[in-house]
Amino acid sequence: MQYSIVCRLLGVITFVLAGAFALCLGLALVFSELESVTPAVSGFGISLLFSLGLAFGFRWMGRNAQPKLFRKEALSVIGLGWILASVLGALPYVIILKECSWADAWFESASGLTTTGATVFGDVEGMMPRSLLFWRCLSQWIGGLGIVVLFVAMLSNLGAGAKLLISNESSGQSRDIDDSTMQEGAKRIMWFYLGLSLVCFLSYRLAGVSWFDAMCHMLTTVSTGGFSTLNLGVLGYANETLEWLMIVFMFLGGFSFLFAIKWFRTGRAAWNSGFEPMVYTALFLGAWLAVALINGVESHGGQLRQVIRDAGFQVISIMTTTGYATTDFAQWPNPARWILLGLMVVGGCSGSTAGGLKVIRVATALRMANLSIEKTFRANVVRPLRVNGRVMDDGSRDALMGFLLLNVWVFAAGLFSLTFMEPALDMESGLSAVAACLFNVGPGFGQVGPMSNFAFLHDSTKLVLGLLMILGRLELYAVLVLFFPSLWKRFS
Amino acid sequence: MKGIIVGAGEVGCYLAEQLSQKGIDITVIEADPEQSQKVDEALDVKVFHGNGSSASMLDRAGVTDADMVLSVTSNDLTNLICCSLTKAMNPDAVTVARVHDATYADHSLINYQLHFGIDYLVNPEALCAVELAKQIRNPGRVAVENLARGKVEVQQIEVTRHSRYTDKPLRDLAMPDDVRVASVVHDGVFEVAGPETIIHPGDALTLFGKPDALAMVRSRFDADYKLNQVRVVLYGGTEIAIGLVRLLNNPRFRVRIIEQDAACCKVLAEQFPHVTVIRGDATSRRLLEEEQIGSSDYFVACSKRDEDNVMTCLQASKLGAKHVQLVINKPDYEPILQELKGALGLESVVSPRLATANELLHMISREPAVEVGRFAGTPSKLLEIKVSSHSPSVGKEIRELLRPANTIFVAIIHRFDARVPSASDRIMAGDRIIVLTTHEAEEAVVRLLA
Repeated sequence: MQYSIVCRLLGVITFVLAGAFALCLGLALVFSELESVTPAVSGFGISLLFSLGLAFGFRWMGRNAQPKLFRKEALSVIGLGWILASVLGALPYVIILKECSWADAWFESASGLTTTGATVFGDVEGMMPRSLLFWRCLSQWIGGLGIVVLFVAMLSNLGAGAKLLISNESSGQSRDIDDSTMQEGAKRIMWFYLGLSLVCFLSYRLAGVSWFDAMCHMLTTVSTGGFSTLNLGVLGYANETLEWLMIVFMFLGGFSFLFAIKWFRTGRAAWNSGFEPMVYTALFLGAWLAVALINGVESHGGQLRQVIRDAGFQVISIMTTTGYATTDFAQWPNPARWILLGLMVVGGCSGSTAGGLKVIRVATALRMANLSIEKTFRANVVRPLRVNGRVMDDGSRDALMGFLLLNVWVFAAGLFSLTFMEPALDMESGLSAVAACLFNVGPGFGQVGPMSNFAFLHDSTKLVLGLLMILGRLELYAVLVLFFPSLWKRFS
Repeated sequence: MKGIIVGAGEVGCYLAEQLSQKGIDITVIEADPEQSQKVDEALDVKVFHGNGSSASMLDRAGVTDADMVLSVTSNDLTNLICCSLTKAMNPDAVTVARVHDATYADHSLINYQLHFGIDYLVNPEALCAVELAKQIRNPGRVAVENLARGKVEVQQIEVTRHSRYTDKPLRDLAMPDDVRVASVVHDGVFEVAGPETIIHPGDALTLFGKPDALAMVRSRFDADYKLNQVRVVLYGGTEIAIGLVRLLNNPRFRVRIIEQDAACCKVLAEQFPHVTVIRGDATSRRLLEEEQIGSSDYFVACSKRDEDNVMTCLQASKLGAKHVQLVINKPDYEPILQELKGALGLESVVSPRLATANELLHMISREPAVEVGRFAGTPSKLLEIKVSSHSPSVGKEIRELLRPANTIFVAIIHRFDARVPSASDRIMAGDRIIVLTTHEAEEAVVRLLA
């Protein structure tokens, strides 16, 4: 294991965080009108200094690094980097808020960076200074794009390591990036993201939201994170236009960025790989219709406009794993809640900021299942499986199945550890808590529903759930390999 | 003396050349027309172009009055049939077969050698593997001889520390059964070990026994010899690699095989669960770096392509592998590589063809006693003695024999199975006994056993 290149890249990640802290510090200074050293100023100041120090430390440890990155190093950079970033991101919470434990801060920070959106703070309006609220939302925006994508766009000398890094952090396939170098591809994704963020911000502003709130909500919509600056969340605005705009931008957030970029560049030709966005749209519309019908029947046809709007909002919010709530969907009739749970698992498109297993994987797994059924009565038929225009070989099939199975194991492990740490938690809350964290959704059902929060859980539970969030965001492997002793030892 | 060689490939040609130089009349049977023409032009031997496993062909070549028939084609089955037919047509001829497949060395249900009438079974790849394993199992400047296909090793070591095996007479020591002390040089005085011998630190000791047990005992005597984990990387999933894996089955060896062919990888991985199989092209520097070849202890290039072997060895050595070993298949390259060995940093260069040929020459020699090893600094030497049917020791137990002074029986090879002899082992005709003895006692021992 080449520790020097790992340290060097961890240093870059820490620099990125330091940059974010600097931004928040600036904001804190502005809000405090430079009168006194508010807790926010000192909090961000200390965090900034600490992360700068750490960044220089890592830089120094990796001073002799060869730019040669193999799979071991790439995976450990991503895994360690995200865990490190979550720990650093917890600093502002711990320093600024009086009664915040480290477990709470870790949970919130991980929930931010992984764009989960689950919170342990019930009263954000009263407790948190605005710069801290801004940090909460900024962490989601950074995590949505991906810390690694960010620095791949900036560093040019990573060589083939850039491919390894990007394909292991983001859910998109590196072969769907049309540019000749990974750096160009990463830059293009970044510009797309920035463009989308700008349009979103302007739209929210035009809908009548204050500039600070528009900024914060833009940060958490585009990244499909789900944090809000109001205690009641989006409900607090009672703004219909805003909710419709959010539906649009959440949909875009969960849409495949790589496909969108391809579409801008090549037009019609991009539709060869348009399978996933089509399924995603169809699933969204289908689920919207179904939920609207179920809720409509339940409410006996009253308040139809609101029922439709809420159904659409909730469906897209859960499907893209954002986690905004305009209604307490934990109270919805059972069929609707099951649909939501299913959408949690499926998630958004690959190559987007959404979480979950990703539409393409679930769709491909279903197609594979179909083919296997045919194989039982017609063993000799040869049916290649085409995904996004390319035929899927045996290795990829195995990898897909392996990934889905591993998710099941991790989910089960999460469930079992949760039940031992929280014996009093009912099954519905426990199941949805694990699902909400692993698939980066945010709110669950029952006691962890959209109108409550995760504060009541034990510290140990929060630690485990935070780890689950990171596992889900990084699609399991980058974190799981850290637990394999042979990763750290010499190969033999 | 007359001999027939079936198969004029590299081994066959080399043998034909060596034997005809010794004055033996050689006839060669070769199936490939071009090859048989080449041999006809190159060597002073009679060449028949035909099928060596056909009785009529063998008859034409004069099998009925041949003294030896060496079947060394690249096809195991041809060799087996040829020997079988030879024994049927001429029971007195010595038959030698070259066999690659380890299936025919497995005598648990049927003894293939007995069944096909083969006097000596030679496996070129296994011989190479033995030679390579010798180095891997005993790094450092230790005089080691491999006997009986690597099943018994004789080592000369220096005792550097006190342990439970020193400062006591040998008969009071509880050494493992498959290790014996052969001789001790104490203060410059050479003494063949007996029950009263005492080992002191500073002595030079000659031990023999099964390699794994030897390694363990050696760590008792030699403080510098530590049984660390040894990382071995083999390039090429060939028979030599398989042979090496079998010899290095002690858990302290962590073996990896790099092989490009997917089907071969699958077979290897299934057959040897304790070996890590990497599928890839070892000539790719990136693969070698990713697999951290630079931190391995031994890199053995044993693929079928000599050029790749040499280059990957150099690459591995450059990346930092501690010892590199090379297998050369084409005998043409052998001399130049032996010359360049030191300059290129190669620890050893072995060639299956030459190893086979040397082994065969050794086997068919008619002398009753052959020297197989010698240890510097001691007047002792290792002899291999064939017990003939009119030897005075046939049918007797070892304890009944009147052993000459300063002689120790190191190994007894009875019907293709070698082991360290105990006092109650009975000697049969046809056995081969390896003895450690001195110059003076040599004649007496040969008279006793041969």
